[in-house]
Amino acid sequence: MKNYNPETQRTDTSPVKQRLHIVSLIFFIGGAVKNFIYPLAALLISYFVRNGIEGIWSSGIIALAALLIIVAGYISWLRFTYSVQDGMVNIESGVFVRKNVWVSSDRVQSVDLTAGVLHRMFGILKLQIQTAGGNQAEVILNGISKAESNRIQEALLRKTQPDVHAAANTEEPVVQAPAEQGANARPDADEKLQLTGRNLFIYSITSGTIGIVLAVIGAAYSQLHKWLNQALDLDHMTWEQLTLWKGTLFAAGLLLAAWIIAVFITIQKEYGFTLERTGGRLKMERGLLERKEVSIKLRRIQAIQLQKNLLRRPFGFVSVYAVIAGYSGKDDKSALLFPLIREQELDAFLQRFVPHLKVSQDWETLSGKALTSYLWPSLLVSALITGLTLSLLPGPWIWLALALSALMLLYSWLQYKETAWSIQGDQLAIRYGAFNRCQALVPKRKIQWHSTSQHFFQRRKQLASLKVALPSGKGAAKYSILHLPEETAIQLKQWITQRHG
Amino acid sequence: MNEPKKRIDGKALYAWRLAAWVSAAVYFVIVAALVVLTWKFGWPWWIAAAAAGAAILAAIIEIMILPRLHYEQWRYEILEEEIELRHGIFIRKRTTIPMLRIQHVDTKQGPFLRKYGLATVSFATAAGSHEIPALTQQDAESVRNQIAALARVSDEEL
Repeated sequence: MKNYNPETQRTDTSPVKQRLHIVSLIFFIGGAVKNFIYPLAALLISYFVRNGIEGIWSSGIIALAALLIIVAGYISWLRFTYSVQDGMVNIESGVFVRKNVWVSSDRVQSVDLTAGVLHRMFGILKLQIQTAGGNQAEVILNGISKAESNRIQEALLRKTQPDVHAAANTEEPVVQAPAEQGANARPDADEKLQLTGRNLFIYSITSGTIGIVLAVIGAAYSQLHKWLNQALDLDHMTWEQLTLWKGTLFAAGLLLAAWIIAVFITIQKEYGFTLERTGGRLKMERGLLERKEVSIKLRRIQAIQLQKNLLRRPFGFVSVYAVIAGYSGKDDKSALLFPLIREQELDAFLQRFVPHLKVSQDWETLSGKALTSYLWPSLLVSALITGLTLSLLPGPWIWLALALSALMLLYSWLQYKETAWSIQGDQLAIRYGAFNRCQALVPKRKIQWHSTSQHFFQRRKQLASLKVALPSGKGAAKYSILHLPEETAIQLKQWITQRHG
Repeated sequence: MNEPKKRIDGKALYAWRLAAWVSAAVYFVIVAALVVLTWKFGWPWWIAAAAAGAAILAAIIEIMILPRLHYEQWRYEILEEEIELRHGIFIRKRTTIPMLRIQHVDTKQGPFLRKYGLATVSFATAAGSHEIPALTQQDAESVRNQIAALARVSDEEL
């Protein structure tokens, strides 16, 4: 039952129901622990409170609880089966409540393969299939062999091959599925690009992960504050003792440590990032300890987002993200398509991997009339902050308030400078950002709905805002152009409304 | 570009006002509870007074002003190829939803709308849904049928 035999599958008309790899029992037991932990803990605690903790009986009870959990995990593992038949994946699971899930390949948005350290020790994978609806994966097979995952992907691919959309989009002949060949004979990639070690390093040292690390350190500190106080006797070390240079040194050390941790986290995540295109499919592979593989259909890409963060901007490095309906990976709205690429290479990159989108030129920028519309919200907030500081917090605090105000104004001014748009063929490009620079490349036919809006002040200056919405990983991805001239907004609206063709 | 012209039903005003009266009643209960507590525990009176003032102001705005503005601003138009909506009091918004993008259409009725024989039509796209509030039941029905007929199976899958 467990070992898949290609011959039996060919001759049988009914698909073979398979179980997951035996190692995955660990995950089912983990799941059982999660399910039973509260009732069991309540039971155990009430028992111990009543009877007190006594040698043999207590350990017996604990052993019984552990056994119960293991048995529960084993049964749920036993009752979890999956089967694949051309273009359909079926999963049956559950002990008391049986759950039956069917996913058809036409509706598959993405196939994810993950291998954590434990998975890699036993040579197994976690396969996840996402469809357009919902946030989490519809199919999760935690613990299958590489050959099995290939077989499942083949089965899903075989149905999708005669897909005309993919062929039309890519102008590339679709590689015919090797239907009669074994699962391991997969077609070679048409295009392949790997992140170089140097670029990985650059990407890691300029990534924003340090913010997350600092947040975690901060949270941990607030939790451990009491304990640290006692251990290090912080109470006796008053602020006076903490001289200025010592404090600065401490802060710098903390930042450096957080930064180093962030670099390692990012390297772990994006190590050996490889992007491949085979016909109408894209595949991303990455990871040092935990290997990850995602494959998506090219035509599922709703838009491309090009991001230049503050640190990468001066060196002309761009990160490429894709907005994919129903898939977002770990990122919020969009998934990382390629971590780092030089601006000059972007044209060729899109040509190779996302041929229906191009780098935009001929940007149109905002008129001077819009500048005040960008500035007045931050002017208002600045005035409020400065006023409050002056009246409530006398002394040197005012400098902080002024610096904050200056930063806000600079931010708004940069937003005004960055905002631009461009139309090329059937593609709308929107540029936005302030310190970070972003571009969204949107094919007209992917826009689900669009709207223009105008408030009182905009009406007076004949400005308007435009918003377009696309399906994405979580809800909708919306892109806006704020405060553009009214007639331009109407023109863009008309352009979007015109049928493509 | 032509502005959408159709208005939502006039009875929407009554339905919205009724809903606003109900929320005003809730405010009143909260303020009354506050007064009782203030009296019992000797809290400073200005808290209850401020709450009462805020409640009265909110009730007046919600009953007298907002429904009217809301109604005045709402326009919609269902065309061959798209649905046009225009609404918004402070920020005037015009939304276009191509027929091809509509995935499903619902009508729904809350208790207040039902009292006046009104319904809300909502249509979902892959990137969120939109609605036309407070149409008469017949209008809602015909709008729904019209959209369902016009929104053919989309040629562009997700």
